[in-house]
Amino acid sequence: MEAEIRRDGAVLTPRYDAAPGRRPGTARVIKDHLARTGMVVISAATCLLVVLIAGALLIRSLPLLRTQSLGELLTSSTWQPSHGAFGFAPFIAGSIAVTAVAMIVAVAPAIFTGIYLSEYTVARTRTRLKPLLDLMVGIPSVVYGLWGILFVVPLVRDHVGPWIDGTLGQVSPLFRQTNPSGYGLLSAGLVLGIMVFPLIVAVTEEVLRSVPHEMREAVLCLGATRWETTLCVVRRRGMAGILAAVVLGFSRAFGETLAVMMLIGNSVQVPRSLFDSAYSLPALIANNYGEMMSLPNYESALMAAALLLLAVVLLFNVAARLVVNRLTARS
Amino acid sequence: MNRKQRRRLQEAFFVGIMRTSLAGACLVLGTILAVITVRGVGALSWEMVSQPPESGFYLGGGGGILNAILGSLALATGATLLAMALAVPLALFMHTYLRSSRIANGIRLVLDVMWGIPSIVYGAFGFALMVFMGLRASLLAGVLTLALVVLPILARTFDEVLMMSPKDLREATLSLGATRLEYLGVLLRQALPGLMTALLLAFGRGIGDAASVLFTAGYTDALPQSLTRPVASLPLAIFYQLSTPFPEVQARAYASALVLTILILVVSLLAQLSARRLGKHVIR
Amino acid sequence: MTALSVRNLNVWYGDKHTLNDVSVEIPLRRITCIIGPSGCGKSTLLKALNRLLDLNDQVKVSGQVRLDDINIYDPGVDVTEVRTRVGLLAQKPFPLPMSIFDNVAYGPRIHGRHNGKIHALVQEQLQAVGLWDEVADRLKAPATSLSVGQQQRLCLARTLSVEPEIVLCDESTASLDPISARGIEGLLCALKDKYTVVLVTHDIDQARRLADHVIFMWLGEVVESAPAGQFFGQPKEELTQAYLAREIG
Repeated sequence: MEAEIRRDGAVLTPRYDAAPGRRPGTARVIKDHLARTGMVVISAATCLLVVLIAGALLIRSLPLLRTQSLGELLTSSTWQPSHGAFGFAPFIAGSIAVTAVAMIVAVAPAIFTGIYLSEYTVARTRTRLKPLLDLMVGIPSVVYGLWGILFVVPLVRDHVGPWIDGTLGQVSPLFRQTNPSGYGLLSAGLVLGIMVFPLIVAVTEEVLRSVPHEMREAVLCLGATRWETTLCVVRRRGMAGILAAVVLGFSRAFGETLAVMMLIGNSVQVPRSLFDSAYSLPALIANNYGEMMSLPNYESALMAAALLLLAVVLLFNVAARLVVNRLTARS
Repeated sequence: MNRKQRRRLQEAFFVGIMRTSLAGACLVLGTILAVITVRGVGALSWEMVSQPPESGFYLGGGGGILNAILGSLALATGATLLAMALAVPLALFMHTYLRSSRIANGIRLVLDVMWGIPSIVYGAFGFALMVFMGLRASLLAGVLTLALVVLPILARTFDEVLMMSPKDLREATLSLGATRLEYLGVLLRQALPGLMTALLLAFGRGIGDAASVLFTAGYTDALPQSLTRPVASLPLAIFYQLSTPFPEVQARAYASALVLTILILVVSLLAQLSARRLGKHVIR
Repeated sequence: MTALSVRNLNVWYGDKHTLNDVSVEIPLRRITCIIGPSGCGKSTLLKALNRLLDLNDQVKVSGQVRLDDINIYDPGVDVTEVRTRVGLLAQKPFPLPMSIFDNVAYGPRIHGRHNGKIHALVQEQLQAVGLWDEVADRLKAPATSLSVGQQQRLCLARTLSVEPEIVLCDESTASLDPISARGIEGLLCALKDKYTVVLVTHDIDQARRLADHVIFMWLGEVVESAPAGQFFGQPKEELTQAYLAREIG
């Protein structure tokens, strides 16, 4: 009887003519339990992946951490692998600087675009604009990098650079065009800003759209304009969400590898000007994997860089996601 | 100026800013596509996309980037299928056995966070594992690493698709005496077109990702042959051609970027289409 | 005297014709009740009266709603002005996520209508809805800390704070307990000296208690629009008679 039922197991309807004394569908219930167990295992494995990644990177970076303290690694700016000197400071400074430029470029337009999509457009316009944003997310980072080389670098070198140098350069060394190549913080930051723009837009829109419809109706019925309604929505409910969107954008930009590597100039120094070339943490890892087995502790240093990257991104991501989830779940 | 005019002006001002931002973004996207097309189309030829590199290719010799095109397709296909084997049961699990409980939200959080981990970190992790297991850069290692990158994308996108399934479907199915597994079958049929969209999205992301395959898949001028051999990929082909000092090789990098962009465009277009064209058993 | 006159109003939700050629007059400083079974279009009619339907892009509107000889659907009309003059009290109380005081002060502030006497204005409105004594000592507390009934009264005070001429109520007592509901009903009755009230309800008894004028709708059309005495005493239409006798709907 068992075998017979199993053979036609594909038929989902229970057999009502099954032999008396045998509960119909026992095989179905067993199958149900098996599937459940399997899926629990898969889910647990997926969730453990993050721990596994962090653990593996930690183990590989231990050799370096045994010889140098973490504080020393983070603050030293001497990077001479052949002398066993692994100071991450220039790379951390470069990553923070390029990400900061990207955020300055992207945040305000992205928030305004997110607000526009959520508060001002009708569903039809939104479904037309969404594919464009999706496409911006989908364009590979190497293509962004190439576009940066072909378009942004010459623009910065020949036009933006001299102009900023001429106007703001007198005010602060931050704006002095120190580097005639065009490859540097500003070029990389501009492209990076464009790359994280759609992410900030999407999260901003998602968070704002989770604010209940009734709230807008209530404010509008007091004779408020759309913008006043938006402010009311943003100020009271959306602020944390928009902040989370910015943090998510920041962490995405922080880990971006190829486009930054192609544009930032890759010189190991703490940048002093917007036009200085610099070096980012991801670029450090990507650029040196070839020779990392040749020197003692070199591989360990790169793994430590990856671990550092992971730690920063995890911290920002978990915090921001918790905020977004709380905001969108409440409605 | 009275208050009413001021409020109206304020409204117009901010709408202006918002429209400018949006238009600016569209303009930038347009510029990207235009620059890549204009610069790429010059060096694009049939030979480029139908031949593997000949000797001296990076010095300006003959041949094409078929190795990279096929390599990228192999990597992305393998990674998407592998990720699907985990992501689909995972997403279905959240909606049949766990619907909207705290555990499901916890899994969502983990997936969202994994989505945020830079692919270079996955690459480094993949490399660490390879060293640990004594493996060399290969198609297999690349597929495994890339699968980690696309897993959260696939799982969360499919999860969102499942979230849009009608709420009554669950009650209707379960009240017929179906087990949760049987409900899962019904749900899967409902969500099949959405799954297609999610797969294409993940596939597109897989083709474009470079940082994760940099250490793990290696690079070769040969066409992909075996799981244990290194394999080329399009983003890296672009990157390496660009690194040479020869203008004609750099021009081929532009053409390769155009090929990659077209591939991405086609995939995302297919994703859009499959999202719109729903299956015949789907309840709207 | 007419506060609002609706002329040949048609509303479509996508392909669905929700309001079919509606023409009614809303009398000034009276309580008008719109009754009918669920899905008959009464809420749609209400939201058409201050262009709240604009928020939904699926909606198409044709026809006129005249407020003082201006058609509020004219392209040149300032919608914020219309919504200031025609306020709304929603079905569920929805206090803005700010303090009790700010909920009432928000409207006058954006319109710049308080002349530095915002406190007096808020007090006046809160007194008008009988909430002042209950909240005077905790004006800075979040509005959500109030009970549901208190919240609805706060929302009424907020609606009145911008001095509308017409107050639209969308089943505004439906989600309240009976005592709070009676409280709101009493307030609405008191309002009609100063305001025109339009109340959507599915509760015939409530309409009997409150209405000066009744509009009965059925499947997107107005069946009968008459003063309350006549409507409940000698309804003209058979459909109305059947509905009042609870044979249909």
